[in-house]
Amino acid sequence: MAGTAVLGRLTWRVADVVSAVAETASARTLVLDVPGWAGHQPGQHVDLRLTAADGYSTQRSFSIANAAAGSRVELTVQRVAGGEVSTYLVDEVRAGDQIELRGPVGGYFVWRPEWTDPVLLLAGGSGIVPLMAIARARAAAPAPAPTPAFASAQRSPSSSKSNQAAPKPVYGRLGSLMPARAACSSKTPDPLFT
Amino acid sequence: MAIVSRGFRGRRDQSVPLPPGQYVVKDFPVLSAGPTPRVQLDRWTFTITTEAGAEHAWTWEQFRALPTERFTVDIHCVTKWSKLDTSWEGVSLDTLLAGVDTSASFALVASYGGYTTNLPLADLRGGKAWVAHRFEGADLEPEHGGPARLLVPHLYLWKSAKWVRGFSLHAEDQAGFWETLGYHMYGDPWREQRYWGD
Repeated sequence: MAGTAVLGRLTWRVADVVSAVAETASARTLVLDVPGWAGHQPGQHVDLRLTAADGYSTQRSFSIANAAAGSRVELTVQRVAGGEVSTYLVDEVRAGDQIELRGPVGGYFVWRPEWTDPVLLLAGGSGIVPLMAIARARAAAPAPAPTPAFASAQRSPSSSKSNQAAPKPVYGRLGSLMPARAACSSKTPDPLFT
Repeated sequence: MAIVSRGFRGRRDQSVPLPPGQYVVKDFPVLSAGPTPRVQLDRWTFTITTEAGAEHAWTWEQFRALPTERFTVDIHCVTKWSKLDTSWEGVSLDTLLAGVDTSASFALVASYGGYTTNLPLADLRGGKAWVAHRFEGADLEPEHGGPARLLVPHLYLWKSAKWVRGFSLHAEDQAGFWETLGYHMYGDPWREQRYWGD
C-alpha cells in the first residue's frame, strides 16, 4: 500500500549513541546505532523515550535526518529553551549512552527514490531535518531528478514576540551539505512561506 | 523494561495524571497535513449520511439554531502534547443524531479539504462528542478547525477532525487518512493506541 509505513507492532528498541555532532550553537546530531533497525523512508520520524532513575519517563518525537543506512539512525535536535527532552539531548547525551526509541513512524510526509518529479523543499527552523533526509536520499539515488530548491530560516527566540531582532538561520552547516542551492534567509521570512 | 537515561531527571511539573507518553503544553500547537481550508459560512453544511443513504443536513444557520453545550476538557495529541482544561462550545452529537435512524456501528468522518477519520458510532454518543464552533470564548480560528470541528476528547486528537463537514455511517470500520498511514484504528490515549498494533 503506497505510503504505508508501519506494518506491525512498533516495539521499543535500545539505541547506542555512536557520536554527537554539533551542527550549530543550539542544535546537534545524535548518530545512533539501532540493532534490528529495518530501515526507514526519508521524511519519517521516531518516538524517543527517556527514563529517570526513579522510573519517571517521558516521550517526544524526532525527525530522522539521514537516508536509510543499515542500523544507523541520525536525529538532529534543536534545543528548545527549557525543553525537558531537547536540552538533555543537545547538552547531556554523549557517545556510549543508550536511548530507547521506536519507529519509523509516519507514512505521509515521505519521499521515494522511484519518484522522478522535481521536488521543492521548504522548511522553517528544525523543520529542515526531515528535508535533509529527503535531500540525502535524493543525492544517493541513481538518477536524481532536477535540483530541489531549499530554504530554512528561523526567528531568534528573543524576536518571537518583539519582532525586532533579525531571525538567524540555524542550520547553515547542514544547508551547505545540500546538493542543491541552499538559501538561508537572514531577513524576516517572506509571509508567503511562513 | 525501560533503561535508565544517564543524567536525565525530567521536568516533573505535572501533578495531574496524563496518558502514558504525554506532556503538557500551554500553547496550542497546530499540526496539519495540508493547507487550511477557508470555508464560507453561507456554503457550509454538516451532513450525516446513514448506511441506507438517508441524509440529514444542516446549514450554518440551522446548525447555529441548535442548542449548544459549554464544556471543559483535556485534549491529547498523538504527537505527545496534551492541553488541559480547554473550554469549548458546540453542539452535542447526541443532538445531531437524535433524529437519525441507523443500526450502523461505525462513522467515517469527512472534512472540508479532504481529511477523513474513523471511529465507532458509540464514541460519538453519550455526551462524549461535539461539533465545536467556539474555543475559549471566541469563534474557532480556521487554523484550529473553524468554523467548526469535531471534538472527541477521549480519543487522540486526530479523531477530532478539523473543518468537519459530516460523516457517513457504516456496518464496518473503514480506515480514514491517518488510519491508513499507520495510525491506530481506535486511538485511546490512556491505552497509548498510537500506531497499528498498539
